[in-house]
Amino acid sequence: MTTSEPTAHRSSAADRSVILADVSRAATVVAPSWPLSTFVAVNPLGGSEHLDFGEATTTARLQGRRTHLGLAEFRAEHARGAIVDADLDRAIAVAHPMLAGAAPLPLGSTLVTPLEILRHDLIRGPIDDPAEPTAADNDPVTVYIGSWCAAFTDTATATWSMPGRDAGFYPAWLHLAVHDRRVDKLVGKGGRRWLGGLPTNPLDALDTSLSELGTEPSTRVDVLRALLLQLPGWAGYARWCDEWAADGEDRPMLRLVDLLAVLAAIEVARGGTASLLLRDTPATNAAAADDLMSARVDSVVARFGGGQTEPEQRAAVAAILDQVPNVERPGLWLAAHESNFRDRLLGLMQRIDPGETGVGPDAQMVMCIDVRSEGLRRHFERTGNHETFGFAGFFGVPLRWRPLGSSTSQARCPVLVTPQHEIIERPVDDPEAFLNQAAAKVAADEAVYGAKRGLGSPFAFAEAAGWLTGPIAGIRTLIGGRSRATGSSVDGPITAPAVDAAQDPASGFSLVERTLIAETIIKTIGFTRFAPLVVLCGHASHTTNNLHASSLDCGACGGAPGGPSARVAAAILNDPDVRVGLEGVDIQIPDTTWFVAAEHETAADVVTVLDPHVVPDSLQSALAQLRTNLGVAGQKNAAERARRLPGNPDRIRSRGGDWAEVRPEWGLAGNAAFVVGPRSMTRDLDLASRVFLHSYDAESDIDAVALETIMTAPLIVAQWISAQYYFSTVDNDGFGAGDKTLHNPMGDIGVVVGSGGDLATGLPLQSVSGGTDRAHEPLRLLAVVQAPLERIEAIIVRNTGLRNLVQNGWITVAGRSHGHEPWSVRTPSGTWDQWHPAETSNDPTAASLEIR
Amino acid sequence: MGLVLWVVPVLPLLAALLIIGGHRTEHTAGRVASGAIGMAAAASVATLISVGFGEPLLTATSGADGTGWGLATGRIGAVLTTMVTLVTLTVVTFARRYLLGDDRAPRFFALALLVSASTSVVATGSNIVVLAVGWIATGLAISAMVGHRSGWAPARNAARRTRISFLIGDSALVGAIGVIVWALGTDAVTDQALGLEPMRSMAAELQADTITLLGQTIGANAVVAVLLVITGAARSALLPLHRWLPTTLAAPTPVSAMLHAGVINGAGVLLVIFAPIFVSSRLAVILAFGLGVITAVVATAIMLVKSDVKGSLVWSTAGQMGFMVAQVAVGAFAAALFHVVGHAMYKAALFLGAGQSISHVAEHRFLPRRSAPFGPAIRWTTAGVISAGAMAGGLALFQPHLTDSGLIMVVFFGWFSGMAALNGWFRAMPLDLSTGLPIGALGTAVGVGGYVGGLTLFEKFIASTVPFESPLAIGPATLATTIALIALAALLLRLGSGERLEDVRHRVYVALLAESTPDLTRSVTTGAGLRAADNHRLEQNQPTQSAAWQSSHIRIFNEGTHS
Repeated sequence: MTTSEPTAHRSSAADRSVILADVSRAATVVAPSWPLSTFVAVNPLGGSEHLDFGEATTTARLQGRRTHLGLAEFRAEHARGAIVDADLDRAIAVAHPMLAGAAPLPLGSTLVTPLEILRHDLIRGPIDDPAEPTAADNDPVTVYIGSWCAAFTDTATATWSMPGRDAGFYPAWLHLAVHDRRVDKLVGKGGRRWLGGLPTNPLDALDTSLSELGTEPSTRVDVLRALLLQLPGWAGYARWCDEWAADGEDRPMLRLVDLLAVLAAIEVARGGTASLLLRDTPATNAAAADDLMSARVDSVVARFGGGQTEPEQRAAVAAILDQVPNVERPGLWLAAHESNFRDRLLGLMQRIDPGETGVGPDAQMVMCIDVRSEGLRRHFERTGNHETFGFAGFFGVPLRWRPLGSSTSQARCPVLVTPQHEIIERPVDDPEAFLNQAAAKVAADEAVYGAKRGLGSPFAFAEAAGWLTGPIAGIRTLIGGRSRATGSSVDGPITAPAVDAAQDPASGFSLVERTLIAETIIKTIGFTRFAPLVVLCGHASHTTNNLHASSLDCGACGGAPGGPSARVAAAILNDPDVRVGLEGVDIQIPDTTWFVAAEHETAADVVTVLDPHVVPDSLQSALAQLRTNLGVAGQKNAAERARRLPGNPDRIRSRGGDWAEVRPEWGLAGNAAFVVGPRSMTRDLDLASRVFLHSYDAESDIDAVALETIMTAPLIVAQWISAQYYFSTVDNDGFGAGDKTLHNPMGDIGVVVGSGGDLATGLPLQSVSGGTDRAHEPLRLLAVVQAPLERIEAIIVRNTGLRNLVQNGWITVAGRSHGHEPWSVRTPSGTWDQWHPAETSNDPTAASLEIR
Repeated sequence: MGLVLWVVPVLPLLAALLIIGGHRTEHTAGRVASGAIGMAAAASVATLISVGFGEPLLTATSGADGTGWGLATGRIGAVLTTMVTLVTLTVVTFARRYLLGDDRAPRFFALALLVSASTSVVATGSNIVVLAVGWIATGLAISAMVGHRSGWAPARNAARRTRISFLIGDSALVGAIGVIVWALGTDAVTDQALGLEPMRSMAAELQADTITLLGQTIGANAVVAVLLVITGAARSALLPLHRWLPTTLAAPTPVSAMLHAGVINGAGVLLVIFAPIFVSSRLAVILAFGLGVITAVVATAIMLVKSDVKGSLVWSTAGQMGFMVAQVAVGAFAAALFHVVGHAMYKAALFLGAGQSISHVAEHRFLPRRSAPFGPAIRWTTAGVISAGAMAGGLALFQPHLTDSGLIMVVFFGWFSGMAALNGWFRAMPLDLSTGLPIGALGTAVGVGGYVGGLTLFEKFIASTVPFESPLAIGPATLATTIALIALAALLLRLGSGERLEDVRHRVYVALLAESTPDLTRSVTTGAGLRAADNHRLEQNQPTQSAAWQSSHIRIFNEGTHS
């Protein structure tokens, strides 16, 4: 218990800037966490991408997280054939080339190679998986500070919000904490008095508390990190507030400095010290490690040596196993698992004849690179003479979207891009009825809120309203969702996005900007010819009673529906002035070509054509045919997805509307690779919705501008998604959001598990698991690029972020210059090795990417 | 029809035993559960229709008047079992999809069936002992449901807290039965039906027996009544026995729906069944009124500061339970039962739909908003006048048969809800005044009038089975004064200005927020102790999970010898 007054520090400007710099350095220990209404997938270890994957995961394990599947789980994968012996051999050979090539050693009466010994050890040797991590038992400090974070940030639920929060989190907290009897329980009465003497400026307070903790300048970042890890979810949200929130964001901002000032003050008051904070989690028990090693040796000896093994033979086995300490065994399994997937994917792609289709297509469709587009593209291609492309679902138009009548706009582009322009949805016909209806909805909602949330009003309201809401709840539950087979009829008035800044100064782009956007779309995708109808198809997911609904929306649109971006892009590409401008850069779009916007609703697999009325009359019959084909493709894709989802397959198209459904769709689960190149590489292949497909034509991108964009933007986003799924799968309670059925929403910010505590970030359990079966194979992303290898290499070398990912083993890159060349795989050291499939007992014709 | 009544608790009970005993898979368990509860719900509805048109159902083993061991129901019992079975049917059907992949789902189904069965026994038990068995079984089953995720400490903690609170209540119930047995003999317990008239005579008989406690002579009726109030307070999370309730959020959503719809309103059910005994004791009535009012005010105020959706639902429930017990205490028995049923459905729906909030907030951020046409003072006044008109209209139209206290409750709270809702509508008034005002007024008239009408119908349906009298202890004047004082205090706190008041406001805010985190009310090692404990661990150099380490070693060695 600290009883003395805090020695108030009034830090100098220089001190403050040093602390601020340390705070932002410390912040990278947690990933930023976007408000859940716009879910953005991030790599939970994104702050460690400058480190080798192995090193970064080791650190995370010391912080109590799990970073790989357990050996028992890998062995189950091996037993069902998802990993074969040859994959393990290759993984061992890559990690330990000396051992793999070493001569066999005598063991008992036989000769055994080190490879055989290690393989035996991986598949059958004794294991010591750490116990399955479980959700944290809510620590009192977490509950206490979490309750204040929630009170501070909430704008949606509480009627009586935190007094004085305009001053910022720390000052508002300090002002109230002196009245908070919970503080006594945490830190004692003396502790509360000590808090009362703290300076009101968060930086000064943090400085004071850090010195009180006995922090050396050299360890300050580590101390700050240890503090943030007491509350990683809220710290991630604070990091979003600090680094990613848009300037005009209208909500209380939880600043890292404020959060740290509170955390540090509590730490001092409860008697903590810097050295206690920096103490590593339980050091590995040396005796236990020795025991395990000797058991591993025993197992090898018993398997190969029979009864008569000399002590020196035993020592030789031990020397080999010593090269692969227990903690490195999961890494070898992971590499083997990835090798297996790589072989399957590259093997499938090698069997494809990369010939061009001769006849011009009747229709073309550009879809988001999202893995869910793969299935629909495949089925759509089979319904006629159709060609499809993959492109980031914001169609290269960085915009903020302001829906009809709204006073607020929202970014609809990848978070790496800051949109400079707002696009307003303007009415074409009379919007009055729609606006009145929408406003009435708001007012009716306010009426319910007003009655529900007062001191005297909820009582009669509840007993009366229940007679209405109860039966509705019963009926909703018994019926389940309504099946959606066709696009929702547009319920609003006819509108148009105002894209031309010359006509609408508040909204849109100049002609020069629009022409540039159009040129980028055409060139990056690699369009060489144009069908009469070119569909730009964004995507969205309509689900109900789903707190993680936005995680199913378009990531390239910032976790929001992609329809508006498609509408804007189509309007730009149909603009006659833009087309004239494009001729100047050698792009000829025929007058007979029309770009049609559409939205793919991924829970029911329904494609809705947007703005159909603007399509010229001459193309209306073609459009009708196109809609029919899209309907057929959607139905087939839905049937295909139904096989992967648990529950009744007949319900596939009603899951999104079913309020009792925790898995309306699988989202991006299963994602494992990012393929860059023409569709001829993958056409007709069933890639089981596991692959991001980005169109690219190396021949028309001599200056490599398009490829550099693809590899530094969409590829990075795909890696964030891949890493999010990876870590949410291997440690759902640590990196993911845990069990959905326990989720308790906090406004639109996020969820907590149970009654309170830390914000649960990442993906919920039900997004990556069907219960007993994993729905996602945790693999690091494989990038497959069809382009000259030197071009790929040059791009990797000159972009630090990308280079870190590749060199440090966060992603693997495979490439080939053109379709007739064999694949090469880039090694971390920078060489390109020609790819050969590992010798497998698998029947290559049965190769499939299906997870199960 | 007698057999049909037995179906209501027995079929779910048998199905639960089948699921537990047969180690059924999740799929089978779900089918068995929804089949059984579906039939139980159908039987409940049949019973309701039967007693609605005819005589009470008596299926007890002895006595033509329904006394003895078994089930017997009048209209109240039928209404309650219909409500419970339908809510359980909804929750079980919901959970069949919602808990898909949860290996403890069969356990959930079995326990949900047990909750439904035992709650039905409470509502239809033919004597006090049968009722008490149902009551205790309900508590055990719901506490086990609260501990659904038994591998997680907060869930275990919540189940433990719930069991302890219920143990207090259950002990009081057993004590009440003991006092009755002591005063009136065993026959009074086993052969006494639970209807209004038998209870009246039991109350009178109890009153004749006196006990001397601490030099005070009190009637046995008072002891029984107070014990029953304590029983109800523990089950319905009244202050100070409320702290278990917020911890139950460690259970999956459908468990919360079950708890808040089927179980927590126990105090209302119990005190209505025992109404004649309850109102015969001034002490019990004052106690119930006090606990009810304090809980209604404090818990509802906590709801106002909660920023998590489920947390605000939990505290809303506690407040509603306080209101319900206050209704009972002023003799508004039919209104209290109307509240039991209405609130059960209301809260079940809100819990099951708690996942809608984020989309809802996000969607509403982009809906067009128009500013209110007038300021708060005019808004509230207009809303108040219109709501008062709606209330007057409703009373004139439906002419509810109410006691003075009942009338005060209905009029004040009905009017207040209508006013608050209409004020909310005005705040974001979408249309120009000439359209928005009539629509808002019409909505208020339908809402407030519908409330009065629904309550009147409900009251008529069960009128013959509940007492119609205001307890003397809390008369209409006391009730009106209490409401007025609370309203004044709230207004002062809300609208008053000045530094002192600001400070009070801050203290109240912090106190409410603090009370809302029950996990922090358990004792925590203080700073110095914490450091000492840590040092100790450092010195020992013992990893915290040493037990886990050791057990895994045994496993390793076993495996080692096998291979």
